[in-house]
Amino acid sequence: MLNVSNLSVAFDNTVIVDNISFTVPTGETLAITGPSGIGKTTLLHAICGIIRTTHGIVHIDNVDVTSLPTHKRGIGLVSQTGDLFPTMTVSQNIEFGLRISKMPKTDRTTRVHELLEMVNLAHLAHRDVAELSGGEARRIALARALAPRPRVLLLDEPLSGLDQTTHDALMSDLARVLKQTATTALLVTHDQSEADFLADTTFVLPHK
Amino acid sequence: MNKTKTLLIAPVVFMSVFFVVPVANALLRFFRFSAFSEVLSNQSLRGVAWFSLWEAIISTLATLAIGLPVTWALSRFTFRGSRIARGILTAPFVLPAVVVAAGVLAITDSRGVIPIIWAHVVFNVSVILRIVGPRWSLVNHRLENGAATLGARPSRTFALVVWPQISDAVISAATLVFIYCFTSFGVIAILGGVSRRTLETEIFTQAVRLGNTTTATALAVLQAIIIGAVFFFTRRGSRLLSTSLHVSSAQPLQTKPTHRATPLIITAAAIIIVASPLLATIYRSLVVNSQLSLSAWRTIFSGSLPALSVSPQSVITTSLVFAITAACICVPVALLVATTSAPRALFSLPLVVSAATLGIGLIITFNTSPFTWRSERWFIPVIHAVIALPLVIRAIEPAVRAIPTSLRNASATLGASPFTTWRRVDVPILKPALLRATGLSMAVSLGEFGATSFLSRSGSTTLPIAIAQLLGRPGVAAQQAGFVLAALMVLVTVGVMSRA
Repeated sequence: MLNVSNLSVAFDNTVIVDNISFTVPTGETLAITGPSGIGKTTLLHAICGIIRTTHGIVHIDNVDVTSLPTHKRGIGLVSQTGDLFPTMTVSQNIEFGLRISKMPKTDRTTRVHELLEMVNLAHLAHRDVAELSGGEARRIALARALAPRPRVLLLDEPLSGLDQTTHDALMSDLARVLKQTATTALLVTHDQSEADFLADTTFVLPHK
Repeated sequence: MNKTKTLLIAPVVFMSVFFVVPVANALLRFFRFSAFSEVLSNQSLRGVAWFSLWEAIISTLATLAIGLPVTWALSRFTFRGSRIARGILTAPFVLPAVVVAAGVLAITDSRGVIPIIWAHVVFNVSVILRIVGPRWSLVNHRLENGAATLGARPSRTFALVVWPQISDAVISAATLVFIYCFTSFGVIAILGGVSRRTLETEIFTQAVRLGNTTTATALAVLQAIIIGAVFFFTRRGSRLLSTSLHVSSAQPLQTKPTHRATPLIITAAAIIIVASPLLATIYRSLVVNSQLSLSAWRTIFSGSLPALSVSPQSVITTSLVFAITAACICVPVALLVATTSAPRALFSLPLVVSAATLGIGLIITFNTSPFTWRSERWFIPVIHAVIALPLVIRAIEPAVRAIPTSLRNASATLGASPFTTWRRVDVPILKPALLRATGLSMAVSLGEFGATSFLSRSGSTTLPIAIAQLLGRPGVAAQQAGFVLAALMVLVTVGVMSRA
């Protein structure tokens, strides 16, 4: 479960996120919607500790993680661009978080294969990430974020910038994967139809 | 103190101990106003200062006259062979000054002002190409077309549209070229002969040969004042402290058929001026008594030379060991500086403080117990690392900046600590830049002459020192051996840089 209480973020006295509170129950998906520039991505970055909060508390499974560094929060992030590591293959990207957690090699191989199957890209295991299409890169980014079994998964406009066919296919797969893994997820999107399709609940970020 | 600031301690201490402290120590211990006014009233030394100034101005103007047209040709047009031409013209930047000087000597067979200016042009055209080229290639050619459709002649288009966009890069480059020419040591040592002395060579003569450190320090201060004045009058030129020395690729443009020959002719002329001295060193190393022969090369690799106090093999080994050691020190320090918020001005100081000034500081600071390091063999590669640092930082920094923060964020959300992210994400991406930086550091070390002249002993003679000694000796055998070593340096430096 993710619980955000009275969270605020300000840069140079400009308030970007103002006193936001919400809860995402375990295994559910909450969509945060709102127009561009309202602070949706900033909110996600504050929750996973990439930027500092000015005020507020973040609880994950009833543990206060507000003062923990990003790498100790157990939060996965899928960004708008995928951000795959360019010097690693598809498998190595997915394996990255598992290596960090010191999972034995055989278990890592099994887990990577399982995730590649889940996103229907097992045939691309040894492909260079530069050779992936936009849709494939997003699927690999999703698999990579899910690999270490994060307690919460943050999805930052994961379907933006894709052509309609790829968008629709990926949206279906994303819904399936979230359900299959029972992951607690927070989805940020400006597209209400995505929110309706993927989320159990929608939270509209209020204007500041 | 956070971890980033802790990481900064090592490079800052390194730079302070081996650069700031020696230079400051020289100035504080030996600078006397009386000696300074004596220098100014001494007609001979005034003549040295005046020559340093005007040869640097003429060299800079000549470099601009040859460098700007070829920069235009290579940054505005792509044609068959333009990449190779760019490589040939930028290669001398990492070649030792003594090798370039030896090349010019191989052609002119005489010393004096013209050979000095030619050598400076060979060495510095690459500076214009590296600094102005990227800016010129970014000038949108549609703006020029727009000006032309509004009735502007090419010269007016250049003055009103292009020049305002490239002027600060040209001033930056010209300032850097002036400083390189004004503080040039290896070129003057070989091509100046007995009559042409500059402040840089005079500082060496006063400090090392005559033991007159006070006068040498006064000359160093005079030199610093002139450099400071140049910075003041070309204030925009101070941007060079943050200028990247990365060579950008040109935007492919179609030339008008009637003008197609112009960029080709300009590029060919520049290549002849820049590359001919380098080829001449190789040619002179292969010609004995007007006949092609490998005898000089055999002598270098098999025997000893009476003109040198050590064997040529030992000189080559020493240079390579120093170059590798310097790279092992310089690249990690540069990486730390490039990836943290280290004060850039501190690490740019070796660009604007002359090697001779540093040399005085080193010999007086590291000459007293417990820091009697000036005669230690390890000391020379450490100083080479200090001198290479500003260039090596500039080779790494653009690559560091190009790593998207989002990759590091992704790594952190996957559980990687900042150090693990640096090791597993940043370093693999930086690998090509680190290889280039290693090559650059080795090239600088292989060619360093100024500061090494102050520190070199018979057991630590480097290739540039040996070349200068051999070319300064009378006799065909010594000259021939000098050209062989210079040719060897051309081949090794080009080899190192192309591998990197």
